[in-house]
Amino acid sequence: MYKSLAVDLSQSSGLSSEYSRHLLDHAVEERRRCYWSVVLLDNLYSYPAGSFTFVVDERTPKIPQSPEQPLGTSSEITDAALEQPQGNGISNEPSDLGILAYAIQLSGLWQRAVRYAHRRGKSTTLPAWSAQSEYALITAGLMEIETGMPYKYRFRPSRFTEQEPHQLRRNRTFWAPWLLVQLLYHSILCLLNHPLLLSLRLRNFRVTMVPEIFLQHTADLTSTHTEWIVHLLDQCREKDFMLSDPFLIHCTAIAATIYLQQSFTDDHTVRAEKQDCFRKCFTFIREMGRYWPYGNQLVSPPILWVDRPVD
Amino acid sequence: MPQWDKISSAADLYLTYLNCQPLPLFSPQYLTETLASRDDELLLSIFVAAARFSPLVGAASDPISSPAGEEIANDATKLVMRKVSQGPVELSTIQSLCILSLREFNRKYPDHSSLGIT
Repeated sequence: MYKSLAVDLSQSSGLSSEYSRHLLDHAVEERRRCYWSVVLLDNLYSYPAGSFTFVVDERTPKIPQSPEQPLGTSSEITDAALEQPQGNGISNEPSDLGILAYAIQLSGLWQRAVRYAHRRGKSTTLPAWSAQSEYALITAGLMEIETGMPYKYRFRPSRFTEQEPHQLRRNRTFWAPWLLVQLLYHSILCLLNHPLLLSLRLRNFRVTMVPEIFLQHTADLTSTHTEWIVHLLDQCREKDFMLSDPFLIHCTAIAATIYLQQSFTDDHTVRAEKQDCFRKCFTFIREMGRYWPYGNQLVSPPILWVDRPVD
Repeated sequence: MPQWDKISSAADLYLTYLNCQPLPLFSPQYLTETLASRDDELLLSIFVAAARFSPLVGAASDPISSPAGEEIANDATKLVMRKVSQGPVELSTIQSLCILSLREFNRKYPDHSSLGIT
């Protein structure tokens, strides 16, 4: 109800259109922040079948100002692999819209991925491996966002792991949304390629109708991006960086359910590895549950699974 | 209304643990400078959302669903709904709805944050 009211009032009160009014800069900035917060709220938390479509035109409020990336991270890149060719003098680097802009862009794609997951198994939809399928379009959208984002915001050039805990705390205003961008990116890929959702989607296909390369592709993506989610959680724990964004509960829960499914294997080494990652996700969600009761609710039933060996 | 020093502390906690996580509602410096002139419903919403991160409250207890927390959240909701039904709807009305919504979505039973008619 609160979110629906916020979305409706943002439209009816004129918040969604930016005119040249006689407002002070900080008042304009706060209106923009409010509008994009409503958009984020709707993108991240809508019921999959009932999200609102925000009109985008020349009067759409500009993206709010983002916190600056701390000095000493991207500005001192010396890795030769990152140097760009100097061909015609035109920079290929996309313009920097600020870290908040990329969080907003990814939230829109998250909404599409959730809707795709929700509509699993509808026989009228194109198979995921079709170039025109929603799966393919979302994946392409993700790559477009990634290449439209300045390189400095990616994991390695950001040098998150090289920061001292006190540096991370001091620049929390940047690192917190940066982590949201990282985790949203990996979570969208995990959700799109989730083995449980995939099996539901493929149950109407004969085995010979499913391309092997597609199955291999989704398995590789799931494996890689769940590992990234756990790696980011590990890094934050190691750096004593407290995550407090409640949306990260959802990101981690997706990885947890994938690890849980993968832990049902006869290979003892793989099973131990998957169980370990599942526990890390589970622990994070439980810790978040100290601040957000929804986290507690999520981990309540599976606690029996953790305490009991899978075999 | 909670004491002013507690509201001020809650605003600091909000900026640390909730702003841009995920909703970028405020410019930190501007919120701090203008806190005293903000509407009551916004101050109460900030307070009730940020209270969970208070070292005084302690994470072991559940400030979100404690009777005191519920009472403050209800007060914030009443003020917001009065603005919605009687006007004027202001920026602070929508800001408060965003904060209350985030809180509701992450309750144990998130039933008020969006309509659940199916």
